[in-house]
Amino acid sequence: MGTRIVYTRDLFKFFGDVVALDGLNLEVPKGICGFIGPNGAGKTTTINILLGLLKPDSGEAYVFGLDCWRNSYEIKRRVGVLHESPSYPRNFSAQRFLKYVSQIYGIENSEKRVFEMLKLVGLYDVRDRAIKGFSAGMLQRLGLAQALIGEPELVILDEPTANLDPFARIMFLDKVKEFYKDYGVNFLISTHILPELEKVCSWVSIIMNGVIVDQGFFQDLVSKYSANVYTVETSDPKLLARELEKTDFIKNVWIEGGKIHCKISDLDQFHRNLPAIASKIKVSIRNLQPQCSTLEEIYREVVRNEK
Amino acid sequence: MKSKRKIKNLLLWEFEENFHFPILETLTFIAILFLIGFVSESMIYYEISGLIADTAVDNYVGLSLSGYTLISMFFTGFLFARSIAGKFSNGEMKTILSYPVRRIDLILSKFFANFIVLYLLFSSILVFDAVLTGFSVFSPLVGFTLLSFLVILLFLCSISMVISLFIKNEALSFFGFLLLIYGLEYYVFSKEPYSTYFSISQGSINIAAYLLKSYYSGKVSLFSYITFRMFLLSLLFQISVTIVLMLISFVYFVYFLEVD
Repeated sequence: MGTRIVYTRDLFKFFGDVVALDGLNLEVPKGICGFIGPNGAGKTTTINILLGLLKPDSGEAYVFGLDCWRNSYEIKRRVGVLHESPSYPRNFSAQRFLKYVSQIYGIENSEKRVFEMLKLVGLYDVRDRAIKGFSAGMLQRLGLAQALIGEPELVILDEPTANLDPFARIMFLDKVKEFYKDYGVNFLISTHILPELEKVCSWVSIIMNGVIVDQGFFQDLVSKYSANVYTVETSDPKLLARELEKTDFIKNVWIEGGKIHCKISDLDQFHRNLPAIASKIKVSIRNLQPQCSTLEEIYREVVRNEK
Repeated sequence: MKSKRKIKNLLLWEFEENFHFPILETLTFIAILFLIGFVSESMIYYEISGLIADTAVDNYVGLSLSGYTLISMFFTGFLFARSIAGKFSNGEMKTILSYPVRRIDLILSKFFANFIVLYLLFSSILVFDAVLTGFSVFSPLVGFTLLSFLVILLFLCSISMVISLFIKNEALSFFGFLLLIYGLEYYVFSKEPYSTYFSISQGSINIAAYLLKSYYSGKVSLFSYITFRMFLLSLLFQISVTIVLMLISFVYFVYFLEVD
């Protein structure tokens, strides 16, 4: 793993009786990283702790090796953030708002930087319009501009594509990729929309009930979760599933969405014997593939294991 | 130096927000209405006596100062609820706190931006009122009135800020502030003899009137009922409460506030 830019150890956070973080051990390397988990898993709480907005009850949290609560000012100089459902001064124009933000970041030629950002996110033509007249997509692009204006080393995006239509989502994530490639900006993206995330991220951390249940490079996770779970598409799933249950190289078989899912104990035997079993009972095999080849499938598998 | 520049930026941001909101139009409209009322009353005195008499001074300090103090309570509560509590409830505070700003700079800029707007507005109305009544802008009467209003406004702002910070809800902060202030006024006036130094409207009169009385040292017969004790207690009460509440607000905002 490359240099860790975000690191937490045994992080706990309580809101009254509710355990928001239950010993979170998060690691984020350089690059574009996904931070995924169900609603209420603790993603936003973690982000708020990383920005020094919340104080952890116990444990450690570091960004760029700096303590998140004690050195939040220094961290925020190097980090840009787009919060979930963000709010900006409604009566300001986009240009005016970004000018104030750039001045806060201490950008020397703030006017030039504001224009650059407005052009980059496609808001240049509406720069004088009051923010209250912006659509959800425009607000999200303004959010990206304000997160990037301070020339950050890391940008944290909390549900950045939640209010966007599919086309705008793709555009948004393309911008993210562009920033990583062209400017070397690292991203930590918390989202529910996994198919799009998997196209851009190299690292994934999965959180459930305030705990990191798994994390690693995307390709490593694919290998890990594909190693013993396969999906079989066949002409008669019930019949084949019954036959497979009788074998000793398969731990578990279940049918979901008209497909057979098998948890395999001996992969060699499975590949050797499956065609023979199928031909014996006269069913055809249409497709055979590792179950977890996408981020969504990995996520489902992790959630299933946790449950 | 950088910190000073950031405070300046934050102050400008806050001023611009205040000036974008139609609060100023609202304030000016209401202030003009009250001004017309007070001026017409003053003019009656002027016409009867034919000169600027003690009655006019009494009227200015007793009615204008206390009247505008009462109106300013309403707007102080409104402005702070909007710029602090409202920013918590709509999420803007989280956005601003995610930028590299020191919390102390942010809270100071919010406090002083609101205070300056309110003071400039109400003090200009007080000066305007004085001029229309026939007093010079540079008269001790206007000076002491503005000084007294400055103390009372700081007091009101500090109460409003602490309420907004702890309640974090715009409407609740506003009504909570009004309830507290008008409750205090009601409590003070229900006392027999009432403790005027705890009253916001009477406290400001005590300060301005006693200073005026001392300045003319017996040359005028006005405000003979206001003693040094009343003046001192009014001043001490307002200043000490202001300092304590501001310290509570700053310490809470800088060291303990968590934004979720």
